[in-house]
Order: sequence, then structure tokens, then C-alpha cells
Amino acid sequence: MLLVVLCALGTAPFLFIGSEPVFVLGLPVWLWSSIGFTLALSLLTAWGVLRYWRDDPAESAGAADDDSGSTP
Amino acid sequence: MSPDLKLGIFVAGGAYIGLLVLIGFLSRRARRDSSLADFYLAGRRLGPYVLLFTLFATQYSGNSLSGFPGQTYREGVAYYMSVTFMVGIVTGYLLFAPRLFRAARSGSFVTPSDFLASRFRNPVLNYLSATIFTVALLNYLLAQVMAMGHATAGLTEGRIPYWLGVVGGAAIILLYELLGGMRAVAWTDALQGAVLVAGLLLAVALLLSEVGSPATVLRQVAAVAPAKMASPSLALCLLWLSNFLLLFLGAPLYPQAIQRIYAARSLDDLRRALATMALLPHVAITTVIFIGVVGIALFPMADGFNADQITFKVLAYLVEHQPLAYVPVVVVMMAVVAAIMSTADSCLLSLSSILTKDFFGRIRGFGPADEARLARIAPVSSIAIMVAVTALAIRPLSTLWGLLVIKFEILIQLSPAFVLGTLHERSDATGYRGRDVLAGLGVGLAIALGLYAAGHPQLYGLHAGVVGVGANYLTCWASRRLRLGRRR
Repeated sequence: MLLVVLCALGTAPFLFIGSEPVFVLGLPVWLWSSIGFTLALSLLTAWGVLRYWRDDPAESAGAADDDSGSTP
Repeated sequence: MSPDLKLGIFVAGGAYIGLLVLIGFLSRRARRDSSLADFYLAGRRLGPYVLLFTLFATQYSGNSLSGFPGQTYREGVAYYMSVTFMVGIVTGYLLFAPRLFRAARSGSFVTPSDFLASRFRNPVLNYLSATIFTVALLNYLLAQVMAMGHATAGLTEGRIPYWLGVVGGAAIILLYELLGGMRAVAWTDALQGAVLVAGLLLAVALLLSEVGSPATVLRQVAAVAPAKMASPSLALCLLWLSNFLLLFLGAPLYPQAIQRIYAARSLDDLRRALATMALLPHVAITTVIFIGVVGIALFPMADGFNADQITFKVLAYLVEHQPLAYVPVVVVMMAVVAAIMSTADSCLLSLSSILTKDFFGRIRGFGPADEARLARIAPVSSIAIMVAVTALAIRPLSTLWGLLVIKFEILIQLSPAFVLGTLHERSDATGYRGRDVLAGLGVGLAIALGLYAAGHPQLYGLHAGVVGVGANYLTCWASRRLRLGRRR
């Protein structure tokens, strides 16, 4: 969760306030920084969801053979 | 707009509406019983793909497609922050969604307030939370219904007037929702989500072929409007952070979002859908921002031009310069309508469930044995809500609108009730109690609304709602500590 907070803080480019934009590969560095932190936040979230949300097998057993709601 | 494009929009629009109604009829045949859970939660059987599309289509409203490019056009590339906000919404689910899913399964919850009622058993909290959800949803639904009218009038160049777009769109949504409830909404969301994805991908492909790579476009922007490439100021960075907090804590609390957690077939399906959702903003929102950036490059001197129209202006430019752009542009325009309708139908369904179960059911003292009676009332409440919202959309009341624009500041105050409420079981004596949460809610609402009323919608760059929710969490914590200390 600490990593999530750090990434969220990092998305706002505080370190680049007032500086002249320097371009790398066509994009300003402050934008690269925000893109990097946002991507890290996404990956952390996806990893957190997949890693820590565990299903109870007994809970889903009843619905396993029933997918009538999953397709039109 | 060329006659061909006009004809294309009419044909595609007609086919799209026909498909929505057909899905409504198909979903009616798939109904299993006449319970509230079947109508409002599709019998709690949404699989991972439909769940993903319905979450996607609900989260990305018409504003995402036409409002975000407009905002980018006004603010410059700093509006990349909206990608962060959309990721933040999914991150917000990490705080409570799995525990809420399990509680919803064991308690057979239908509305978000059902969880609070089961966990805290505090009637004041029940009614207050239902009222807050109603205020938040009413705003959202009203905005979408009005957007439907504007989009229809805009796409048909006034041949279909605003009021007819509002009434017609509302009637179509109501029809397929009454036919199949959440199942119809989720299935149509799958169609709408597919149109949305196709539209966005086509838009990007067209733009890249016409104006060049993102780096080329940004070089153009730096040349014609250097201020739009500048690194954000301290005020903007603080606003960025405050908006992130507002969405991180508030957006997962939208009743339609919570009801999709309830409607998931299993936690496994929910986690697969949400893990994908965490990555989607990098494609979907980056695309719409790119449209805004292209707008800056193509129309840099458009003084007095309505920035919210930039999407349509860029699309019109594409049709003028690329004969092959005709079909993809029609798909993109349909995607705008799809985004609006998919958000509106989810809001309507949630609002109907709250009115039926949280207000009508509780006031009349209905219990589980009366569910069949409530299920009969559900369609009536959907009709009543849509008629009222349609009337408001045609003749908006400025006082009501003024109250509703602060809905997010109010909605976010329910965050502690869900986050702290899911931390402990009700039987756990050390857990939070209704009075702790109610005290926090009272303090949070007083601060948020008080700051707003005093003319300070922001304090040191933070939204009034964010300041309020900070005090709200602190009050909950202090109230619990005080209670536990007294007991010792």
C-alpha cells in the first residue's frame, strides 16, 4: 500500500514545477515521469487485485456450471 | 457535414437502437425468477467478460469522449492527469471490494445501503446514505440524459431537436431496462463497450495516419502553443493530487459500481475484470487525450471556439481529408452516444433499486418475505425516475443543479463507512460501530458543505470534500478509540 501511495504521489510532477520542459523522444520529461508513475500504479493495482483477492472455492462452486449471465 | 455522413449516422443510429431493443428482449427470456436480485443484479451471475465491459462502459461516460479532449484542448498535455484518475478509481476498489463481495454474498445485498444496514444497524445511517447515493446518482443521470439530447441534436445538425433526443433516448433506455433489468443493462453495456473500444481504436489509427506520430504532433503543439506543453504549476499539481484522492475514494462508491461487485458470479471473475480495468485507461484515456492534443495542433488559434466540440471538429477534419474516414467516423460518433447511454442506464437501474428497496421498502417495513411485492414496484420506480429526470433535462432547475454539482464532495463522505466497515465483522467488539461512522459522516459533511457555502470550494489546493473526508476518517478513529478506552 505504501508503494501505491508513493506511485500516486509521483504521478503529479511536483519535481518539475517551474522548470523549462526538456524533450526526450518527443515528449517532455515531466510527462514521461507522470506516465511512468501512472503505469507503475496500474501494474501495482492489477498485481494487488490478482495476488490478494482469493476466491473461496466453495462459494463459486454453485455458479461454476452456470454461465447464463456471462454471454448474451 | 456531408449528406453521406448524415445518412450513415441515421442508418448506424437506427441499427444500434434496434440492437439495444433486441438485447432487451433476449435478456427478458433469460430471466430466472422475479426476485429483486434477478432484476437489479442479473441473479448475481455476471461472468468476467460481461463484467469487464459493463464496468468499462459504466465508468467511461460521454464526458470521457467529448469532455476529456475538450479539457486537454484548454489545459494542454497536463490533462494527462485524467489517465491517473481513471487508474486511481480501480486502485480505490482495493480498499474494500473483496470483503464487500463476500459480505454481499452472505447477506444477499441488493443496494449499497444494504451493507451499511447489515453492518451497522443504524436507521439514521441507512436513510442518510441512501439520500447521499440518490443525490450523486440523480446528478449523473441528469447529466447523461441532457448529454443525449445535445449529442443527438449535434449529430443530426438539429434535425432531431434537443428535447426529442432527450425523450427518445430516455424511452429507449427505459424500454430495454424494463425488459431485462441489470441483465439487459450489462449485455447492452457489452455492446456499447465494444463500440466504444472500436471507435477509440479507429480514431487513433485514423489520426496517426493523417497527422503523424504522437511525437510529431507534440512538436507541432510545442511550436504553435508552447504554454500547453509547460510543466504544471504547484497549484495544478495540488489540484491533480486532490482530484486523484476525490476519485480514488469517491468513484468506487458509486452505487452502480458497488452493484457490479454484488453482481459478479465469483470473486475470481471480479478480480480478472478489475485487473484488466486497471490497465485500460492507458489505452482508452490516452486515446481521447491524443484527440485533444491533435486539436491543439490543428486549431491553435480557435479563440471563442467551444473546446467541448473539439472531438467533432477533429473528426470533421478527418472526413474532409480522408475519404476512407467516413465509416470509422460514424463508429466513433456512435461510440459517443454509446458511452452516454451505457452510463445513463446503469444510473437509472441503481437509482430505481435505492428508491424501491432503501426508501419504499424500509418506510413500509418490508422484510425478505415481501420481496415479490418490491419486485413488482421496481419497474414503476424506474418509470417514475425517468419521467422526472426527462422533465428536469428539458427544463433544468438552476437551484437543483447548483446543489447537485457538489455531489462528489458529498458521496466521498461515505468512504469511511465502507472502508472501515469492511475491516471488521459486526460481531467484533473492537470494530467500528454505527455511531463512530455517523459522527465521522456528520463532521465530514459539515466541513465539505460548510467550506462550499463559505465560498471555499478548495482549501490550499484540496477540494472541500477531500478536507471533509480527512476529518471524517479522523473522527471515526477518535470515536472508536474513545469508546474502546472507556470500556477498558
